Amino acid sequence: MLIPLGFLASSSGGVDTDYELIETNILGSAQSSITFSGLATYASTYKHLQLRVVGKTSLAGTNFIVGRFNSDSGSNYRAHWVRGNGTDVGSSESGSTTRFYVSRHDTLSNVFCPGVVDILDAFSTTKNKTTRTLTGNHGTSPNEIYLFSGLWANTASLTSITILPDGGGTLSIGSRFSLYGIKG
Amino acid sequence: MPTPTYIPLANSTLGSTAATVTFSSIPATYRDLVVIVNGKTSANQATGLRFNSDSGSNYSMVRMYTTASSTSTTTYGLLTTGDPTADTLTIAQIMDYSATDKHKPVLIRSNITANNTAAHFVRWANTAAITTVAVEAISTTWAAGTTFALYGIASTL
Repeated sequence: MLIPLGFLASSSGGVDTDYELIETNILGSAQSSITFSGLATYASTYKHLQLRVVGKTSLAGTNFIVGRFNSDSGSNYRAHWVRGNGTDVGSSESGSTTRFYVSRHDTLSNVFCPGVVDILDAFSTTKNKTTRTLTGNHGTSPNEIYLFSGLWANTASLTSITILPDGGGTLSIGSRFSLYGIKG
Repeated sequence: MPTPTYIPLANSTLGSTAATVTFSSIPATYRDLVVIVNGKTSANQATGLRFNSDSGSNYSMVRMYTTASSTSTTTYGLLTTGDPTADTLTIAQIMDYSATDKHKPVLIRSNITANNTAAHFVRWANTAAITTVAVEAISTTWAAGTTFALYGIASTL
């Protein structure tokens, strides 16, 4: 059964939705980090945020792209995850840590890793911030799929999100970082 | 200025069984695509995605489901294992589908009502922009009543 897109596909704008693109950053040069700033502007409009990332770093081997809120690089984050590696399923936690997880990274040419990060109640001033991340890679071993939960132990409303490679290096040309707002 | 996004592009409910449902003529207007499938298959067989009619061994996957994990390189991007007795809900996020500098990454979550929840990562080893998405019941058919929906997520402000 063939469903050709035609009329519906052309109606890409002018539609009121509750899920809106705030900003997209596609790297034209390597960067040590990127930051979505000025988020206080959206506190009265959106309840949740979603990061959608297709990323790569200069790091050797598989690793992660990670994030920080409001420039906080202290040990105020915790993460738990479930991981499949093609052989078994495992789970673990980070303990107190300095970031939340955004996406995997892979060294193969043309291989960028996706990450979808839900940031719940991003602008609440009565709740610590929670994240949920789905990411994976299949290229450079180990090939893995991860479902993360994250905690930022701070009730501050989000004003910025900084994204960077985990452990130094740079974010690679062509990496894409998009931030969406979700009304509630 | 925020841009409305998550645009419904196409949807279909099968009136009779079909082996494949194909979304074609997909414009490069969006950033990501989301495919949502909910329904049954005629037999307990795999279901999968194929892009641009590519049936070569160009789809690499790592998967976790219940208490197990597997990895493979095969001729389709695995969606889930279909079930004739219970609906399976699958959401596939096809990221940067129109980029020509990347292989195409897909994040998939699926829930089989009877016995299984799963998450997959699929990489289509091709830098071509995706213009068709075939949603296939491998070695079986999709059951009547199965629904298929395609959404586009905004590209630019």
